[in-house]
Amino acid sequence: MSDMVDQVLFRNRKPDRIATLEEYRAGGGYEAFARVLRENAPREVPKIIDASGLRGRGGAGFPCARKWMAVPEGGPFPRYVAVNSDEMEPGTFKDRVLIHADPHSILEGMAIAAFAISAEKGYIFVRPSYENAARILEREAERARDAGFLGKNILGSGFSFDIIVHRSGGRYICGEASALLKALMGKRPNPVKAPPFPTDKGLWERPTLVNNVETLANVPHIIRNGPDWFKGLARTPTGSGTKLYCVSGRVNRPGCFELPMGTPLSEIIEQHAGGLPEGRRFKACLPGGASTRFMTAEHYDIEMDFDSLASVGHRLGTAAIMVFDDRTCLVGVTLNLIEFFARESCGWCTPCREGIPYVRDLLWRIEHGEGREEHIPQLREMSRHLWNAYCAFAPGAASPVESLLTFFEDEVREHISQKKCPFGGR
Amino acid sequence: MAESAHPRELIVDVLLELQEHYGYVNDEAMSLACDLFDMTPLEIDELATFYDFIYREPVGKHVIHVCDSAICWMNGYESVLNLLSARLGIKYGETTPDGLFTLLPACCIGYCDRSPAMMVNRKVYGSLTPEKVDRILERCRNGGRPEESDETER
Amino acid sequence: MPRLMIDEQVIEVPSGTKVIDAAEMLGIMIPRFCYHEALGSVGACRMCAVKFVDGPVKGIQMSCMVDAQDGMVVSTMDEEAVAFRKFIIECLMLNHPHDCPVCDEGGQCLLQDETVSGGHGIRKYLGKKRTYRDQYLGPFIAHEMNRCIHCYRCARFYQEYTGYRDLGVMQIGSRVFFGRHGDGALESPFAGNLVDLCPTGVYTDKAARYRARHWDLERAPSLCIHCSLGCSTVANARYREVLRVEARLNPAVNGYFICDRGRFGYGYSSHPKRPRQARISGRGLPVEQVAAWAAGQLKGIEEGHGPRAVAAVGSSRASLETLTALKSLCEARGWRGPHCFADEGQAAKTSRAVARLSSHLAVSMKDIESADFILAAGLDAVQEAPMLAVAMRQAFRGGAVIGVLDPRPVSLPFAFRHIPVPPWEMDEALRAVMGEGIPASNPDFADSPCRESKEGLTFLRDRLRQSIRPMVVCSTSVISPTAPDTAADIALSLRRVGKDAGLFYVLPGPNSYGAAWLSRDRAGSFLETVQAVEDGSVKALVVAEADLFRDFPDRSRLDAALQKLELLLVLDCLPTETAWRSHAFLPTTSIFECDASFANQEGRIQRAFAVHAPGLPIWQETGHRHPVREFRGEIPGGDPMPAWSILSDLHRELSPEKEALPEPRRLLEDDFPGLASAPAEELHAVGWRVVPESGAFPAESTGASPSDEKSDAMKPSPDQFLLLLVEATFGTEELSGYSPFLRKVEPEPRLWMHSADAAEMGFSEGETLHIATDGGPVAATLTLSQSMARSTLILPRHMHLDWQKLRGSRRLVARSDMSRAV
Ligand SMILES: Cc1cc2nc3c(=O)[nH]c(=O)nc-3n(C[C@H](O)[C@H](O)[C@H](O)COP(=O)(O)O)c2cc1C
Ligand code: SF4
Ligand code: FES
Repeated sequence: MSDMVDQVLFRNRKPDRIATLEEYRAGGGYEAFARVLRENAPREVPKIIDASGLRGRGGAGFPCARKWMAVPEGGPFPRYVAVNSDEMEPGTFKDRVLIHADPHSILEGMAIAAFAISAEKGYIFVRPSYENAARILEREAERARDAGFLGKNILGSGFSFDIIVHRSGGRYICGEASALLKALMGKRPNPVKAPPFPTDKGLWERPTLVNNVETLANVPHIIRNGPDWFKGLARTPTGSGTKLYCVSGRVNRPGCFELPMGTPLSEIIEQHAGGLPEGRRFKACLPGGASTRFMTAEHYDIEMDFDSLASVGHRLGTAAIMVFDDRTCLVGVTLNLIEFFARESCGWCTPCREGIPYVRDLLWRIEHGEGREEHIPQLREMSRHLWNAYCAFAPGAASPVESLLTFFEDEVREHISQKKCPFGGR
Repeated sequence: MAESAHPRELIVDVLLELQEHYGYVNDEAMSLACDLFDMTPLEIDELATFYDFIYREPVGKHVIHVCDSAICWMNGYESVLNLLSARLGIKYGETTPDGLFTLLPACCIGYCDRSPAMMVNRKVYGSLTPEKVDRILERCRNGGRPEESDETER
Repeated sequence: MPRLMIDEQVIEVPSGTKVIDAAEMLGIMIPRFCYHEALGSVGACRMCAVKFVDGPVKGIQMSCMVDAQDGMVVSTMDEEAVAFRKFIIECLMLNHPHDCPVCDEGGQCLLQDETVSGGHGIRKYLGKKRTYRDQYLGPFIAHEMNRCIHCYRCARFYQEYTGYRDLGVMQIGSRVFFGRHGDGALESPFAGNLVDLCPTGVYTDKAARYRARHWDLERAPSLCIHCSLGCSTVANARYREVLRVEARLNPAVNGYFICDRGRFGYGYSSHPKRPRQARISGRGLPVEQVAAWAAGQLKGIEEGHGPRAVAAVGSSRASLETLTALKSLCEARGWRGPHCFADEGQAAKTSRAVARLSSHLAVSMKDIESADFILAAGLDAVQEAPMLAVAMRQAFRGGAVIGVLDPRPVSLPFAFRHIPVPPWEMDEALRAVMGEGIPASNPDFADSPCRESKEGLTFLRDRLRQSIRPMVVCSTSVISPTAPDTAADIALSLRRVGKDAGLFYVLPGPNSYGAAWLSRDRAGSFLETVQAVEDGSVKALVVAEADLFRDFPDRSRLDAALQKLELLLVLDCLPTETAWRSHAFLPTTSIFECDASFANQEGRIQRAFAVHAPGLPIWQETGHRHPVREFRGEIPGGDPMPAWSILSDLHRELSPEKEALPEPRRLLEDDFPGLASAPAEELHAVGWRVVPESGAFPAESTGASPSDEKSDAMKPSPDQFLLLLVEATFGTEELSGYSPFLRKVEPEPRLWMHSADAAEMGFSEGETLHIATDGGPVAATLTLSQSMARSTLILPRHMHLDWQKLRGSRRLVARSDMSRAV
């Protein structure tokens, strides 16, 4: 049903194979890159992106151009572009689908970003379970190189840029921008707090841009069609562009859909993901991956963009919508998520390293009928403390717990009073 | 490596490569890596032990990672795990006596649209059913490597 | 200078100050674990959370991560902050084993303190505790990972601060593990600092394990006297025995840390063979009786042969109190001496160094840390003055270029430019770095295995030119006799061209500066005294805390000479050969048993305080670790007295007025005029540099004329090697040689030879070689190196070697005297 709406990132998406370089070019691919090389000074590019209102798709929603412009003009060389394709946020798989649909949009986006900040090398950071994606990117980068879009003196412009695919050893924290850079440099990927920002001192102390795959894939389209076109794609006044929504969980057709930014949740679930199975009722969803808050049916019709969600105290995150129905135990879901966070914590700071396992212990007790009334305030307090961890990982872990206690305290209580999971552990 | 201005950026690649060759990062692989990067065993281990997909203990020829994160949990990863355990006679963290299979958990592997899912030797198989699991095991046993994963590479 | 308010108190601090430190200046100690002044902020433990109520930063933040800024209003006792800190403590205690009753950290454990101060008393967590397998980390340090609170201090210190690479962080999440790749002794000679740094009991002092609770220990500020740097320490004793030595913060010298030689080298003081009784001809007697007898003997010799028939010898390990007393005694009686260096070469080089050190050139270790260029001449820092290597590493971390000109295969825990300059080329090479022409056609450089020598010198010269704060570091061990002067000349001329240059010498012993200073206008060398003994003009030797057999290069000659003496009076606290050979012996206190002062290599006088009364350690007396349960008036084995007081008594016995010497303090102030004006507090905290404004004393009167030590005399002919006796971190230093713990880590003594020389001679790595001497061969295992000077042999002055047979710390060895052991 996705073909009902304008497809930008997925315009070349095929059911059984990826789009070739030729197909990409046939639709205007690499024109944007050629044009900026020809017509623009590097510093002009971020201005175009700025006008488009493109916000980062990696989870934080940071205005893309602002980051690009933060690279100091007089900063040292060489500079780098690092593309974040770690995508380990549970529920999120949009980057994978995008790479399998139209990899050249990413490569072109990288090249344009590189031009904008005068970078000469780009890294694509890929998680182990995306080995396919890594191979695709390597192969397609080679083809782009053969076609003269990468390498030395691209299209005779004097600008040189090349791309390396970096395979991760696999850890969620590697997706955090500063940890990602350390991982790339072969160091232990504990996050490091800014300042200095990567745009000042990133890879090997040089200015480095870290952007999500989807963010960069939008860039060529913006350049080609203009910022106003991009803004116009969104359904909401403050949104811009399209968004890759991943829908999973209790829906009939889980998948990744490209829809206008701000498409209502209900529409995404019902029209695109096929709705909930017969007889199941929507209870809640995580709107943007494991580190966002449970959103109840109250917001079932909310427009899924950064601002609308923020206005009701939620986060768009990665727009990975995990749908839970009335027969799913949310204590169980939360316990599972916390297992994930406990396993993946990098171990740098105390609240996360020790606090999350503590939270897990309490949730486990509640889910398995050993919960006590005092565990509820205890959990509340502990998840509040998680916000004072070193990086955004622990606040992410706190989000499902806090929202569970806010919106589903009764469900938690039932576990405690019945001394078992009322859903039979599912 | 000689081409790289910062050879250490390749360390994970090299470890994965060595692992491919030795099955896991054993002492020999370790000392090779130390020599290549002019690093101490501790320095290599600081990295190797950080990552999920670098094995510092012997593993089987086929390493199966079953995704146990939220969506697969909802969609019954446990039955997949139980089936695998029953078929292979091993639990999480164990290797079959014939050295063919190792069974390990994995965090969300990014195939929530094809849940439940698992990885065998870094190839992903989704929408698992008992029959499909059996087929995959069968192919591993016979051909050495499972042929195709679910997702196209072309 | 930002002004901010912390807990209603306003303070102005230098910009760049962290809020946690600003609070400390106000006397508010914000709890912390990961933060450490030397290691910096990393924000890992989250213990230092405070509330920023107003100003540029708001909300709960880590006070170690935020720079103090104008207008900040900080509350440390804000409810939210207190609750968060309490949570952190609770988290840290989840997995802690609560084994405080059997933990040596108990009583000085930051985790205990913060748990109490955070008010965490009742355990709520019901889950299981995590457990780890501990590792064997060598003879010094016990590992108990279950106690770990993951502050990362150990790994940061080990790798970042000191540059060693075998201890670090493994695993992830709540399994994070600090340790080695596998069981094995820690490679860093600074690993002992982990004991001090660890905020709980993960790393504890193995030597002191289960010997005392912290509150049972007698503690006193002390000094390390195992090399010339004089790091500050705290000595901890119980039952008449030092059990532990810790680093003591001295911002001007060692900062927070010390090396393992300094930490584990204290055992000499409780050595089972330590002579604790006065003796005449080997027979134990009361101190007074021996002292009276010795005085009588001395008087007789003075009367019979004149005062010049008596000579006095001190050493660079004796305290300033002892040396000044010895000097006064010599002056009062007209005796020869005191000589403090039995090795003439050492005497000469130390004198030159002390002569050239002036107050505007002298720098401290702290200053070394902020250098942007270091030229190290004849220095193998880790071996000779370990903490200097750590200071140099801090300069390196700050971006300094470091060049080392040294014949040895120097290895340091940071990147540096090593040029294996042999001693006979040292002055020329130094001058080359100064830009006085690169020795272009020098054959030793030309066919040196380090063919880049010339290029290296050019590189260093260019970087020196660019530098703003260059430091010249020069050790007096293996260099030529003229090199200390050359080093000083370089530092001076760098000053003249407007650089903020400094000069830093490394000297042979803990009190070498003091010793050289006190003998600055004394003519004659110990060698001349030996000659005088041989020709019969000296009849008595008074030896205060020196082992002539260890220091004098020619053992058999000394042996014969001593036999001619009428009186050999020895005062010492060590079981030395000289002591056993004495006619009369008087036991002295060690640094742990009597207040003492030492002048380190930069002329900084520092004080150590007695930590326990002299006496036989209880376990040596009773055979077990409990005191006897009976009342006694005196301490068994308590005879040792400060050497200076013995000397003072001697003076009283000998002088017609029957007067004792003036108080030690008076003597010190007479000899070091600057000392009188030293504020006591500063003297105790960081010491007081007494170096005069322009050079110490005239060049001529430096005692020995090192005839056989002339530069060209040391140059080996093609059929010779120059043999250099050198220091090693463990195994060569005199005092720590009597420490049982250190013996465990001493490497086997090795002879180093350049690979190309070995190839010419047909020797190979690992073979046992013999160097023939008059007294029989000296044997050592051969180690080859490409990065040392050709035509030199390097041999540590190791306790297990009869290196004294080699006669001289530098001598030419004929190639034909080298052979393979059969
Ligand atoms: C724990 C953690 C995991 C993250 N994982 C990812 C990720 O897998 N992919 C991603 O693009 N961004 C991830 N981020 C966000 C990045 O830090 C960063 O904001 C992003 O890559 C910037 O790209 P963008 O501005 O294009 O969104 C993660 C952040 C945190 C705190
Ligand atoms: S919150 Fe702390 S322990 Fe958790 S991932 Fe971030 S830095 Fe690591
Ligand atoms: S002391 Fe500030 S976070 Fe550890």
